[in-house]
Amino acid sequence: MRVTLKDVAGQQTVEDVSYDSLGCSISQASASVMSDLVIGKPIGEAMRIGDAFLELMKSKGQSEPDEDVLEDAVAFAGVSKYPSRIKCALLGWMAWKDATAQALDDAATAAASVPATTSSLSDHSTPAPTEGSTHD
Amino acid sequence: MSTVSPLKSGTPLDTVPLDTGAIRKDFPALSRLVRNDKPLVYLDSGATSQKPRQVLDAEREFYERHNGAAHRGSHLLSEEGTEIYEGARAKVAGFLGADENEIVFTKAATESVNLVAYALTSSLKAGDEIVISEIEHHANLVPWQQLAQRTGATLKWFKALPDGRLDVDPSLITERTKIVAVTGQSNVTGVITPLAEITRLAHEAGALVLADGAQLVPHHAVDVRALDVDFLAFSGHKMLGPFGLGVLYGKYDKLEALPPFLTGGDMIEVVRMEGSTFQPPPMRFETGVPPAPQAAGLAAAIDYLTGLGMDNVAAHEESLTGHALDALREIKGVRVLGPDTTADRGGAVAFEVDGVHPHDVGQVLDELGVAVRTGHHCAWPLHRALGVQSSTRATFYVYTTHEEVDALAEGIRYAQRFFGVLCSSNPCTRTSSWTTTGTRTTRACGIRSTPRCITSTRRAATR
Repeated sequence: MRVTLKDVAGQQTVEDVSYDSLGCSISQASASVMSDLVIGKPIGEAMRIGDAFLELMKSKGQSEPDEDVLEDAVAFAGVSKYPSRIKCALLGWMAWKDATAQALDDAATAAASVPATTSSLSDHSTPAPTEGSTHD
Repeated sequence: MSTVSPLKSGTPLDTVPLDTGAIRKDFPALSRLVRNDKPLVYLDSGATSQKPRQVLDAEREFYERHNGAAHRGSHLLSEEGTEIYEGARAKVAGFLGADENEIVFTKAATESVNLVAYALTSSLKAGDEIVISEIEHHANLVPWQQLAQRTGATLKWFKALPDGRLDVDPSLITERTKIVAVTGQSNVTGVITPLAEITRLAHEAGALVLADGAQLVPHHAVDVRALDVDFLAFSGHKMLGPFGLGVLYGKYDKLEALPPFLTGGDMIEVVRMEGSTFQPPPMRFETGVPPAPQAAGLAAAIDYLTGLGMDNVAAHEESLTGHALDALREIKGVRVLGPDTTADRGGAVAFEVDGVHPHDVGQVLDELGVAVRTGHHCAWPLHRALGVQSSTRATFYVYTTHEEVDALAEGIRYAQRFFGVLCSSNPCTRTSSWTTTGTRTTRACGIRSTPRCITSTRRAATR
């Protein structure tokens, strides 16, 4: 997974998300919806959407998802009734959070060593969890 | 194993040696309804078997009448507990053609393998070699990697052939080989390995042999003297018995040569503050209050299997396997892993469905009441060797019917329709990859990009 962050008016913003993956329909569809949701959003907002999605996945089918926040991701509400599939729906989100955290770390390290520029672009890749949706 | 010509799907089965109708009445779980009020089609016995009433009764009776700690206490209940526990040991020994003092009770096959792997730690050193195989369940793989790491010994392995059989390369076994650990039957492809041949090679080189019998002992008559392996590990819960009880068979002199693994009460001879001495086998390897109720259940399971006849069990599964191989072969886009005949092949049928991930196949089958296993089945290196990301697996046992095999085939066809993978204008391949750049998601389908795959998969996934 590759996450590209950009400083927009002082806010780190998700400029692009791309990934190469192999997995079940839920993991692929969820990662696709996630990309649509987070691209163009400030990191803080994107993380809040991620948290809302995590909450939905933990809800065992009992919660009413907020379509204003989750948009297309509300379609995954049913997945929360199948404990063995929740990790499928979360796979892309976890990879994105991890890649974003690493990109921010890298940006901070770069800022500390090269005090001149903190703006512009930080680009980060994490190994694609291509086999991560299977278990045992 | 004798070779029976595979049965055609739908062939009347008047030669089947087991009366599954009568057998199924003994298994309460088999009559329950599952998702969507569908009858249960249980095709996951390789993970754990269902348990007959006789086993449940034996365990319940222990708790209701004899619930004392075996090997402890001077009262009647404790003595009865001891009798039942040791009676189960004798039962297991008889089932395998072993002596009672060669049967060690463990928690499961996994612990049995770990016991030997840990106990060998002080016998191995750098330069020694351990030989395993690429088709192993992780339970007979990771403990040997760890033993190699602890001791500096070198880990080697027999490779898997394209049909999942073992490439038994004799040159791997040398005078440096200390132990050879291989499965008797693959939990993924059902491949039955040439244990006798491997054992002969190992013994000629002076090496020990451990067989992982988790998928062999429940399904075939096993005579440890004829096999000549030094150790054999298996679990009770895969052979109609309760969870929490496994077996390690070991030739007595080989067990005697091993130091203890888990230590504590009961396994000791004399304990002083300065140090302790230990019991002879099998007690040396059993500590803590023995799982006597589970042993009572396993004894009842062995009675049940013996009543059916292990040769009949094997023949029944062979006919089911032949039927499954035929039925799956007829489905376009389905590839069975492993040999395509029942020769030296047990009742585990793992397969891929083009364009549908195993988790999705499994979930669609589950909606139809068909219970299968999906993923790597704890055999990741085997999947890698066969060039498969993961698979769906059906496994059979004494209560499995030919109608259930047909239900599996029908369920796979339904999954293919559900995910729309069979229409020729939509050639999704199983190796397709997904790439998202910006807000565009495309799926490379090998031949050409077909955004429709996305639409249909997104719809199917969120239905």
